[in-house]
Amino acid sequence: MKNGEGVNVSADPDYPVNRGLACPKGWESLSVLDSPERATEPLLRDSNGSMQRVDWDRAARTLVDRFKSIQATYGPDSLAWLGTGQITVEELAYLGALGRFGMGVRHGDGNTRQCMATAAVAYKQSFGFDAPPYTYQDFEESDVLVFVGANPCIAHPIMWQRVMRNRNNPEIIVLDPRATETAASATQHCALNPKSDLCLFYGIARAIIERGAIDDDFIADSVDGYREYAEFVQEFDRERVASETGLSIVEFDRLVNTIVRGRRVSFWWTMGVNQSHEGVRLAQSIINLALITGNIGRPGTGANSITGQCNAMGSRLFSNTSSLIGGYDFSNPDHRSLVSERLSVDVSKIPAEPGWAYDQIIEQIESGVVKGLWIVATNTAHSWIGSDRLKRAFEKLEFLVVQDMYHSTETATLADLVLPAAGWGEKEGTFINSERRIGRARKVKRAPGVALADFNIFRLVARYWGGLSFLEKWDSPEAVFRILANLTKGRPCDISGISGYSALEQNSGIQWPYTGRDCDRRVQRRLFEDGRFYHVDGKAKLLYERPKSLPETVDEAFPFALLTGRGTSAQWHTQTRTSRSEVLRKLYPKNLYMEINPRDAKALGIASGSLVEIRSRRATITASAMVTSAVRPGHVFLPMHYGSTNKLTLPSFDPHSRQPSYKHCAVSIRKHDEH
Amino acid sequence: MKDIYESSDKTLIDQLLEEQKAIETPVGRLADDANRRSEFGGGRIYQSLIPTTVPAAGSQYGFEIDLDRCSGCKGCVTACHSLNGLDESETWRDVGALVETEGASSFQQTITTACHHCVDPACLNGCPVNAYEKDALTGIVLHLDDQCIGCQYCVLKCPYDVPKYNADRGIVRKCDMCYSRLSNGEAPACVDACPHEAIKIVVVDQSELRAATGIDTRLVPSSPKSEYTLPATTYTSKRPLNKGLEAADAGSTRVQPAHWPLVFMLALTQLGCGGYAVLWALGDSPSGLRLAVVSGVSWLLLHSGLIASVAHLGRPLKAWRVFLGLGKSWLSREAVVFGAVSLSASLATLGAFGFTFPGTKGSLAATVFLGLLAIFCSAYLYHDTRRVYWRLPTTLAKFTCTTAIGGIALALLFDLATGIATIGLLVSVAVVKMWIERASLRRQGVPLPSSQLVFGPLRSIWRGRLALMAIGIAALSLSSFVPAGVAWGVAGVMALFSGEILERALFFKAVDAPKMPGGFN
Repeated sequence: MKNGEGVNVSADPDYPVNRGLACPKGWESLSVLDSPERATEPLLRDSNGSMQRVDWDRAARTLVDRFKSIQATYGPDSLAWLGTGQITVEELAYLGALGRFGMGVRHGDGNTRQCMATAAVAYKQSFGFDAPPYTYQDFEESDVLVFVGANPCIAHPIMWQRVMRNRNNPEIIVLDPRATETAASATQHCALNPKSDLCLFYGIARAIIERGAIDDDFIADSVDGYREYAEFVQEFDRERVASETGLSIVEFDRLVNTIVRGRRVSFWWTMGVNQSHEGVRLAQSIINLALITGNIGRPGTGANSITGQCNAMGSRLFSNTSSLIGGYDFSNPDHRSLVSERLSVDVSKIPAEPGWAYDQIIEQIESGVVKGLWIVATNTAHSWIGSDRLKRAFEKLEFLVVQDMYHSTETATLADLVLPAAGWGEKEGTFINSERRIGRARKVKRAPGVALADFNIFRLVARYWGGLSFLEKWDSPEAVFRILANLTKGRPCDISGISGYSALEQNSGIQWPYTGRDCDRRVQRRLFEDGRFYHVDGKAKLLYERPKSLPETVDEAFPFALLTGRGTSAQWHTQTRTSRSEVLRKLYPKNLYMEINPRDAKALGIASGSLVEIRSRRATITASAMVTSAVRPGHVFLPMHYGSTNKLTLPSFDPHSRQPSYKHCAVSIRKHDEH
Repeated sequence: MKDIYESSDKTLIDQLLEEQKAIETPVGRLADDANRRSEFGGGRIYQSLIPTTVPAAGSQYGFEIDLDRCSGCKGCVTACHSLNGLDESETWRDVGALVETEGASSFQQTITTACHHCVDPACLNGCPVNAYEKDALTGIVLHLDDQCIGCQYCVLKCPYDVPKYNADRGIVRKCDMCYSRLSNGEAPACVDACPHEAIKIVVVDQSELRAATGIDTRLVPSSPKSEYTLPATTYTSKRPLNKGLEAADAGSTRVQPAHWPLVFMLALTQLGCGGYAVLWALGDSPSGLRLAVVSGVSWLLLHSGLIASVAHLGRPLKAWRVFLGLGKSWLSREAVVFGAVSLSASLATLGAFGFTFPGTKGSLAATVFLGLLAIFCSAYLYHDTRRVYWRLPTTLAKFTCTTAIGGIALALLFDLATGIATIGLLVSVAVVKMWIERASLRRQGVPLPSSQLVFGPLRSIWRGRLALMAIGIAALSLSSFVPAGVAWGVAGVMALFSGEILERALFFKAVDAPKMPGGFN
């Protein structure tokens, strides 16, 4: 602290999530706030196409006038917003309520569609609610940890800390086509073929059933559809699994043995599962394994999806996009009337369906239906799959509003109106992490210029829009928090027992549910300890489907499988923040690089550092080669943090979650000509 | 409709802006909370990560890295940066990686590295002003910021690329193993911040370390050989590290800084000494105006070089203390000998202009002798960094040839010696020098990494160097035979000398700079 403002960060040793430790991004979280790239004033594009500084009055008035006129001219489908898991619960709830119930915007979605939609849908279908069952303590209590499509050493270093603190000398299994940093720390690394994991999990299920290593009592009491599932997996014998995954039978047997022998087996997945053309069924194949072996509801177990964004869970529950605000369903009339009552919103204002998903919004922009778009705290132009096509679609928009901390993001530079937002550390609110813990974010710095907290930008827009009396009580983050807490009463995510921010501070954050009435108040809580799930019959469902072929397979013209993922622990997503710290910049390569196996590199005459050309059916880009045996022959890997990676990726989506499949497409490689 | 938000809503904006400016959270209370908690010992358990006793005589502290626990998260780098309050772009710790680039097995190992607090620190041994101290009790190699003159010789001396020059401050800074934190019983920042407890401070027995260090011992594969400085860091792993592992940054070409003041210093002092040498070699024959002019030009060359060297320093006003390291630092020796050269050259030059003092007689010979000694010191100080491209035979030969070129060129320009024989001598020296310059890029027939730089990213400098030498010789040779020969001669000397300056830029830019394995970049 200096002059009342934060100047440096240290981690709280008593907080149950990080236990006093931080990764590079945490250590540098204040320094990225001081950047010349910060948006400090509203910017409006003039008739010549250049951005002019305007005051908030003009900005808010323009937004409201333009959106209202678009709505009046083109009808109710012509407006949409793309939100985020980056802002606080109170803010994204405000946006959701304002957009859906106030402005009558039918279509809103968030960047959580790109990361957590699959897990959310999978949980909801299997458990009856989007409910990650675990607590981070489970990392320390397992004796077998299975990481699927996850590289926590780089993506979640602080989670990996918990694995390293595990005193059970655990078996650590990593399923990943690449020999990642995490794979290097594993006791078993199964380098399976990309996107062959669904077959693998069905195969494991069959082998476990064959050996009788299932938990009969748990299945009888708590699982629905076991007999059909056991029959379904019969076709996945070890030979088929071996041929489709590329694993040897010895490897496969060892993997099954380890899972069978484990007493506390936990499964952890991230984007390798969620970002897939059949992600929901894949996540459910993992959930199914946990269910039939009874590895759920006990310490050190669970089928556990880890999130990347600070507030992905908050977005899932409160953003009012894919589910009705507060963990409700749009399609359920009882839910709609309950929400109407608790939020004092006219029930006619509550839509009966969730609206379009992210990819559908983009599609409708492309086809000229959506004319006005409001993007909040996400960098769509960088992160969306097949980004060249997206930029062409954006040209068809009549009015694009981008609300962000930085005026220079790939998306903000396309905007007609830029609204300068305060960032983390410059505002109050709460976040919900992937173990369902609601934590406080505090204001320790002043925002630059006239930048406002997203919360206050939404308040301003609400006032200018006019006539939104139900939002009058939403006048501070904490007031909204209390309204939301009350809203959840009776839902699985019931947090009505949390009286306010001071309760969160006193308790080191609180996991949902927390009903107050003599509820369980332990700091580390997991769900389903009683074997009861959220479906009406109290049972979890086993859901499955035959594996589908890849949307784009390698062939003669495009002989390499392109894998994408996180590059270094000093980088995050599209780098709007992590590129603003000099120290972080030193910790990652400046330019895009491509990992390639030594065998392929030799055949193509490529050495480490050579410039290579990577071509997919969508685009051609260049990168420098990094020759490493971490990738297998026939694969190449590109980190996602650099703008050009998503020019190559193939827009294909999981049919249930509509999450994009970033992790696999076909490319060709050649050495770039010397110039 | 617009009027609705005219009057009242302006005040909402004002109110929101006001709210935004106010820091409502009592952050002070938060900080107090944190302090109170740590009083109750809420922090992590560091006791197992730092020694509980001070080292006995003959022992010192060292980092111990458990590679099996290093996941490459780089939290140590940022924690060190934050907790030591380093400048915006400053980092004292680094994380690199070793990768398998041959064979089918996929292997990678991240390597966290900082100062190794060597038993025999090269930085300390090279420092001309004793700005390094090896702490008697802990063996920590401390850099005394207030003593540093910013000469950066330690940067060249350290084989691990540890001391870092901070241009804003004009001094070098480096890891001190968080000396003050350790003194208070706290773990160093990196130890404290590693989520996986991969970094420890242990007590290392110096004589055991010395005995265990063979001629080929390295901390990890592809790191510099340990026998040079006896680094006190230990890297441990249950999985043996294959010797063929390569640093992840092995493929990147690293052009080194040119250090332009040093480029000019080396070239000009040698060219100037060459002028004195030719005057001395020709004995009494040059006299009068010619003697005065050649002496004067040589004095200017020599002193321009010396002034340039001062410009290299981050703290030039402290440069007078440069003799302090005379006992061990070749930089001190070079500086002191050049001081003597300056004195005697000034005396000799004044003599040439007719001002005589006691000692003027003999001052020319002294200048030449001291000048050659200084040039030897120059060559040796680079050789002493153990960088292959700077090894003594080729470096000394290059410097001597530059001296010869300076002398012969001035002789030709001012007609001290003329004719085909002198031109022939110049051409022979040039040919020999070119051969040496090429030979310095190979060792036992094998091209050094430096040659990839010279013929790669630095090839335009190399071509410029060749062109200037050819033009210089041609113009200078012509000057004896054509009208307006003086103009040709001046142009020739300028070209020739510029060629030498470019050669010296290559000397710095193309040098191999050893370091610990880095990350791909």
